Amino acid sequence: MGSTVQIRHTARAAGLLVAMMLCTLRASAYPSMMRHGYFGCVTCHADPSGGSLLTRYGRAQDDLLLTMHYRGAPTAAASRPENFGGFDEFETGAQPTEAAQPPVENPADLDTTNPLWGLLTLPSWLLLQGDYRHMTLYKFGRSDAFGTFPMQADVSGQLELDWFRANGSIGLTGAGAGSPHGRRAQLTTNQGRGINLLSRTHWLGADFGQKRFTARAGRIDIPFGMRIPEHTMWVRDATRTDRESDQQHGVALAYSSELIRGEALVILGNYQIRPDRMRERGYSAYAEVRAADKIYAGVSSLVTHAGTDFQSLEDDVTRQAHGLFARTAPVSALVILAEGDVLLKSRRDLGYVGFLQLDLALVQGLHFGATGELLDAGYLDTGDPFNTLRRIPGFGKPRFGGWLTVDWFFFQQLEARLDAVARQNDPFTVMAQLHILL
Amino acid sequence: MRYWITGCALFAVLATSASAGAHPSFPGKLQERLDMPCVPQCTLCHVDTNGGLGTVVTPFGGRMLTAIRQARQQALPKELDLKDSIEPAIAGFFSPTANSDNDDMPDLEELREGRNPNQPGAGNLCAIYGCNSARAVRSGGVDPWALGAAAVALVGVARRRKNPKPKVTV
Repeated sequence: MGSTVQIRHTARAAGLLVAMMLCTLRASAYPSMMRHGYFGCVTCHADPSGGSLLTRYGRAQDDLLLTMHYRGAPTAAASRPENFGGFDEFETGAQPTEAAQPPVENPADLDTTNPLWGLLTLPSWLLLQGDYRHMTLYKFGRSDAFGTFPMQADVSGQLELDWFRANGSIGLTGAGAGSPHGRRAQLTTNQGRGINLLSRTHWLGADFGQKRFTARAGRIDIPFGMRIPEHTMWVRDATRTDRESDQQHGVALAYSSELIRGEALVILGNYQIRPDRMRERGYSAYAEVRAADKIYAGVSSLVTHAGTDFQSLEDDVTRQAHGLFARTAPVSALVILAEGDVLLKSRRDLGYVGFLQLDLALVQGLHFGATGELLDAGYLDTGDPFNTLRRIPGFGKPRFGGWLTVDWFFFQQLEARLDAVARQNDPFTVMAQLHILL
Repeated sequence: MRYWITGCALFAVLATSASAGAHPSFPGKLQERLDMPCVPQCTLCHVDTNGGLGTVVTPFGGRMLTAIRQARQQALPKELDLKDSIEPAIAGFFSPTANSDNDDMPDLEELREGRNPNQPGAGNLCAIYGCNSARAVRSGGVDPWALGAAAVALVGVARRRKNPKPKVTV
């Protein structure tokens, strides 16, 4: 009887979550590039599992497929054959379809395959990119409701000599004392307020097997789940797999083909944190298959151990996350992304985290979206009957959240984004973001 | 249709619920007030690094929450803003002998020593961020060595671009 009631409650909660997301729509996450026929990430990104730094071809596609074209014509310079060699260059399995349109002249005629709208021309063996994201937010009901700050100010680059690659990023962060963001990627040692240099990624790599394989060593984005740009989304935050500063030092092997892609990372620890017992060691891996046309499904797994957990400050913590993710585009205007993971941690009950995201782009360059989130990080058993902790949403109880987003790629390499985020136990927050890709 | 309306209503409830947040300046203020060797994590008191008043779960966090409430009540009828409440709470309402983990050192002493007051014994409270902990500084400023090295590297690259090496032909 009890279980029937529980199932009914769960079904009702799931129904509510879906309904909540159907109220409006959701904006671009880059896994949504699947609507254009892209399965893998390697053709557009330097990182074989996707990420910030774009290849020359990726820059061109950013302009062709993401940016709003007010006169209905994709840009010319970006898609000139001399600027990228076409799809035959890529032996790693992406299946460009719409991208293969012939170039059409654009009045602006800016070369977006090179940095700074073509002002800087780079040799073919060098990639260079600047990313500036400025965030302005308002948290309702807070005395310090308004905030405006640079969220990202990075320069990233890659040197590619035949099979060898050296890749890295450097940037500045003003993350305040106690902030969970930015600090784990610090290079400089200011522990309080002020500015720090940071490096999110730096690695050496080798391509082999007709560039289907890439072996890397260095500080690498964690290969786990859906690589979405929203680093505070619970699926990335609770599994500690975001691209903001969750990277770890280690050795990785990636594979990418037309049917399957994946990566496994042996985590040796984040050597930008001390003392050593606060470094997590273990593995993280994912694999994704093309199940059908525009239906992709994947599995992820992560296990780490640390002498002391640098966040919860507990000793001898083994942390695990295992889950499934899927992407589909039932119609080209709509992409659905979903991920669900179970969370296991020493001395905690089983937890879970998930999200479902709808991305609607009726007009190129303008995305509307809705995301629903669910989190229970797992109740902490103190082992002391006289010192039991309160169950609260997200900690022994399900916690719900929702995002409504408008994402506008309003000019070549410029993006404006507006998010309204409502989460249990958090103030309602509106975030406006400007992203300049240099 | 019913789910649609219920879903929208749920979103509206989530969107309009009042903030129960603690204040992100608390860790920094705690460090300054007690001269701690590091800025503590939010998890010193909260369930995770996102904080929030409804998320205080640790024994030390529970004591601190009580002290903050007392400090704010004491301040009435004048209102004490939440962000300004931690210092009077420590000064007047958090017992100097309070010992949340029942070990050999009171909570405030443990914090001054960089020990974890939620864990018997020393525990670990301080993660040091950056590549060289030997030169870690407590607060303020930027590591001049690292910035200097970056500046020299940038100038070098700029000069090299301006005056490229002449090609040697044999």
